[in-house]
Amino acid sequence: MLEIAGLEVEFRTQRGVVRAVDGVDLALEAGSTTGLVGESGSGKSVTALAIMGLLPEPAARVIGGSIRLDGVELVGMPEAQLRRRRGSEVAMVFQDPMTSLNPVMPIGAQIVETLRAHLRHDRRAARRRAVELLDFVGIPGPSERLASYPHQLSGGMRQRVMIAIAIACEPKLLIADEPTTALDVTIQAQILELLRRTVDERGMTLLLITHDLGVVAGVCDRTNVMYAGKVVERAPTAALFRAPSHHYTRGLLQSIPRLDGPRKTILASIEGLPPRPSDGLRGCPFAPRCPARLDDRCWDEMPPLERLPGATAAHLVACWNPAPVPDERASA
Amino acid sequence: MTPLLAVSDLRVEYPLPGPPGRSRRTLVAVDGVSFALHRGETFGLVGESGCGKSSLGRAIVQLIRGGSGGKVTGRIELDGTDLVALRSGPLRRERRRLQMVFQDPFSSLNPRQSVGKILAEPIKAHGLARGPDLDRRVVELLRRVGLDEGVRERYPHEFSGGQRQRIGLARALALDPDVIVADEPVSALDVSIQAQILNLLMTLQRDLGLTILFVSHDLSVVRHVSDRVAVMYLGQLVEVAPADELYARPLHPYTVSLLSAVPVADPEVERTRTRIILSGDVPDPSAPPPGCRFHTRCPYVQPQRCRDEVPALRSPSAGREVACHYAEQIAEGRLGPHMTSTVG
Repeated sequence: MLEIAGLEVEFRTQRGVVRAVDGVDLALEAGSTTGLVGESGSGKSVTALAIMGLLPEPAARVIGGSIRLDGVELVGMPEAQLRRRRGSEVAMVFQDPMTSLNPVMPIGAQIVETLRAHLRHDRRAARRRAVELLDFVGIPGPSERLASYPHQLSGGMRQRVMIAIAIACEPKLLIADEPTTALDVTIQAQILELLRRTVDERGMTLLLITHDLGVVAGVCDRTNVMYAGKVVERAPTAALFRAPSHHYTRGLLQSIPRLDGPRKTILASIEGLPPRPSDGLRGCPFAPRCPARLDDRCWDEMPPLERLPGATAAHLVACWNPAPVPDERASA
Repeated sequence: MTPLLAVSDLRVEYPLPGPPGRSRRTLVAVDGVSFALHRGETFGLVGESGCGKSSLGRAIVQLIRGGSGGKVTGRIELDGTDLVALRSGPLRRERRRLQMVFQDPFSSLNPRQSVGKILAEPIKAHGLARGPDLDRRVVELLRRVGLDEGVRERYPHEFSGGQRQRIGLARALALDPDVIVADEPVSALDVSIQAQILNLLMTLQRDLGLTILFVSHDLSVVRHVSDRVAVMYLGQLVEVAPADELYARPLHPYTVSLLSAVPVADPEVERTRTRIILSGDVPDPSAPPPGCRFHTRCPYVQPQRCRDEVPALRSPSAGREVACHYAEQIAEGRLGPHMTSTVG
């Protein structure tokens, strides 16, 4: 239902032009949950903003590629049309609800406004629907809560309200960008549970953007790992975690302490820092930090995202020297 | 063995702004906390935002000491000397032995000072070294934290988050402390950088025999670096145990719930594990619930006692402490949670 091909996004900054997204391909099937994982600056959030048509122009712009939603091209679509689609076809939940909720408007009015703008509900129907939505996202006493202002709610409750607004018009695609990063772990568990339930019961397609591999493991069917503006590995989530093949993915997985792992051991860490645009790399952006780089090729030529030899057809990796896959038939 | 640092019945309170004329309300951020740090150990302190873990850490390094910044009562004994009762002169000497590492090193580093100056200043101020000795010491500190001596001329803004945290660590080490309180030292860092800093902390501890109070909301990180772990909820310790035991056999229902809520980077585990989803939010710390403070969210709550009677932190077996009336029954499976969810 969502097809991104060769997406390139540039930012103009004081230090020059930065290619934040550099040739990203992504295909989401209807009803799937897809994870986009990466560290700060990997381009994962910029990709989401590009899908939403919310890039901060003119500083940022799409300079190449296409984003098709149900076959309709979104790149270059006039703002008025994009605005109609936002909410009704694609909606987004951000890390910090305070930046997207209006602080001086009761939450009920904000939901009602969304409903009336997109679905032309009359006031009473919109109000009734707002109560249903707040109830669905687990806000206790929903009809009394309509009059509450965002600052009167806890972080977890605000995120529930954001989800209610995002799903108000039954969008086909829900994009959640670090939706639980600012929350405590017990509240995070509540919100992830709510996201899983929302996608299940309403048949939505979910694109979940996060830095947290644990969150992806619990929510997503398929996972994409991004590094320096590129997708470097893509696989069904189970296969990715069982047999990570890109050395960046492997490094990430090995560097996080696990609740069921050994303690007090020296963690495998990825030495160095992500590349800066000024580094002028021609080849693989991970080459300077990669423990398995080949002498010439990795520096000179960017590897394409291709099927990993010996793996399922759905396991793709962009690496000239990927870690071998033990046996993935079990996950096929 | 006498502990290096013994905290007893510590209370940290802040005045809350209120309507004029009425009696001032207070927020008790830390309420009757006692524990001991043994020389050379890492003691983890975990809890969610607002539980008081940072206030506890700051009180220990004497960043909170009466006045408008909050009031501290109880005892904080370093090698038998109670710091809470100490006057400013002798306190200054003792404070050197306690240093803090912050979540955001940038906010604690003077942006107008070069790295060399940031590190040299405290050493000079305490009269620990001067001249060529001082230079040698600064270079030695940088080497310890994995930085090149060439960075001395540079300024904090020129560094990445991970490098700044190395500078923060070097500064904490400048005065040769016995105890380091590290408050969320890796929480602002990307995963790949986090591991570098955790490794550095573990190495420093081993090489220098440091005692570390590691404060964090991240249960996986705390487990990895700590020898013992304390879990904090609404200003109180609810459980203290050796790290292995706490994670393998948590006794307090809050610990059980926290552990079940941590996402694990393994889809197999995520699909099959039982999650306890706690209902509601953490109550307002300025008006904590009566009885057991966790009873409003506890999945194992019992009708009367949990609401009426404050559970003391008691020791059900050697090395373990828990503040729950029903810890044994829960551990033996005689009491089950009211609400769980198995995903998938």
